[in-house]
Amino acid sequence: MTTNYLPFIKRQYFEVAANSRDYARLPLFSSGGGERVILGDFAVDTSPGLEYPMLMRIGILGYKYFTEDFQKVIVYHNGPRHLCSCWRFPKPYRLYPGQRMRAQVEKITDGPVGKRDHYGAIMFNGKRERDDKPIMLYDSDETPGSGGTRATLNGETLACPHDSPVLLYSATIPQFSGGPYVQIWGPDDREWFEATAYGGAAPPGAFDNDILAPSVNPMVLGEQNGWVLDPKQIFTAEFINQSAASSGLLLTLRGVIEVKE
Amino acid sequence: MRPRPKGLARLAGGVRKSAAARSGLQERAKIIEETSKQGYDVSEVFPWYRQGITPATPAASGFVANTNLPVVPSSTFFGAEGESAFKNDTDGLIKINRLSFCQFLIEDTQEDLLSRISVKINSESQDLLNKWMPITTLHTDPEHYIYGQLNQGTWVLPTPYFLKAGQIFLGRIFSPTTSSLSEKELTIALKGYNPIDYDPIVMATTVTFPVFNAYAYNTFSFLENRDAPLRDMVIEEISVALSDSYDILDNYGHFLDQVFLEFEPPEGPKWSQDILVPMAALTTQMNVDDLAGNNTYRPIVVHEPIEPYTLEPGQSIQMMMRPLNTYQTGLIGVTAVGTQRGRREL
Repeated sequence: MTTNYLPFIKRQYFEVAANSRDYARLPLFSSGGGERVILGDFAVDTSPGLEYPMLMRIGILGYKYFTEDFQKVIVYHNGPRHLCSCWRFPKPYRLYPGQRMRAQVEKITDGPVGKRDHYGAIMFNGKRERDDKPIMLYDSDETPGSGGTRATLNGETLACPHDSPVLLYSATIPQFSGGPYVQIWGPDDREWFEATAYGGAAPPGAFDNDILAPSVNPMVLGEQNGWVLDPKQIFTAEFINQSAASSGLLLTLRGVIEVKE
Repeated sequence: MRPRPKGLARLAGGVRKSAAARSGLQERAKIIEETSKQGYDVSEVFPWYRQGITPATPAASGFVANTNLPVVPSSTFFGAEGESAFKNDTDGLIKINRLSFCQFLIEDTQEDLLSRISVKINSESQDLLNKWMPITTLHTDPEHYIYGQLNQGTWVLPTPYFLKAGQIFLGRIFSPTTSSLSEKELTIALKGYNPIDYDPIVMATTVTFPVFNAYAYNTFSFLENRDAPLRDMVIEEISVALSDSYDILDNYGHFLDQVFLEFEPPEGPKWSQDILVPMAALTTQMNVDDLAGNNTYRPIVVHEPIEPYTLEPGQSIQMMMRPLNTYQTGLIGVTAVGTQRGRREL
């Protein structure tokens, strides 16, 4: 029995009424006991400007809060905003010979001349466990355009080579603006995240929603900072909205679940 | 000096501790020892970089030196293909730690070219990428992005470089185009430490960026290392920054892609072999100024394999590019950064 690390994304749309206090819970799925959940990062996407009147503290439900006092949401920003959609896992995911990844990515057509058309494509960056040679698992649908159509990617180039497991360290999809649909399945057809959690958008590195008006506040958590949960524990973010209008927040929590295989 | 997360620690978001500088020293000693066993007289390890220009059309080849950017005919969906390669023409191993795809010298700020280029990568020794893929899927470094104005960038060397006491480190700076940059002073700094006592050392010099002069080089040199007290220096980082912070960019919010550099360490042009690269392609850490200044963004695709690509003597990495869409304008530069083992030339 070996240990593997299953990547996950949890997303939640959360609305905080004007001049009120509320808390969001992000429960983590679990397939059984004895697993650890390593939290990688957490991002709060507010309307532009609301990262100042919106206060937040985060912690584990029923336990001590990481920050006992509320702070402005923007204070929590200590990670980069990801212009390119690269999701680097806190721990590598191991894929075995005979297994392959599968993904579905939405293509974009932005219309007239000068705008972008995209392939539907995905890339996993990793290395072969046997000889430490670098390897990329990838696939693309080379018919650009037809915005909104989804490309299913499950080609041979997404398969683990026959002679060695591979360790996957990151997933990348083409750069975009806005955040199209993307879904990733592991070899057992297990979803890495729930793509329909909010607006059909759950991209890796989904912190590029509005590059002109930065309003996303990514925060690196990580095992080295103690962000390891038991499966039954619930990550919690509590907010105080000091503005006179209600505000919708998009919360994104990413990490890996330690599983035995 | 900002600490540099390394290896798996970097993946985990960790930060390099001061002791890691010592391990870098040990690592180099180990590499030299291993290489010596392979029959080299005396071996050194050099930070290695090389710039290739992959044009969007075959018509434009070689080093880009003017503003006549190629335009792919719009009549065909897939325009012409371009090709470039990095060949190991040394007698030692080259390990490539990173490939940077950089869009530069483009004054059309409306769209970024990188999102519309697809690429294939092949190598004699490794099966890398045989299917057309959007360049941006190669991106592996979420901490690396460019947005708005960039006034400072730092290149963390893939391996520390030893500058011996009394040696002079030279470099050249180059303006390849009638750019949007006006005449400005740049500060270039070498950052590192004394290998004996690990005291930090920073040497800085200033150089004037040649204004609107397509082929003028300005040189810079670090003469301090020649002066007393003599001490060796282990260089870990090279940084470039504007000496002033005032308006440099007008409507074109890019800077690092117009600063072309060549380093000439004492042992000769082993790092780049007479090729200048845009600082943006080397930069591993950068400060972004004036986020709200304009609506320009300059993505650089940084591909860092978990284990470096290894090129034996004579082997190469070939890259093919083609537009993904119509109306491609501009050029893409690709820079390979890694380490090179070779014979010391005395």
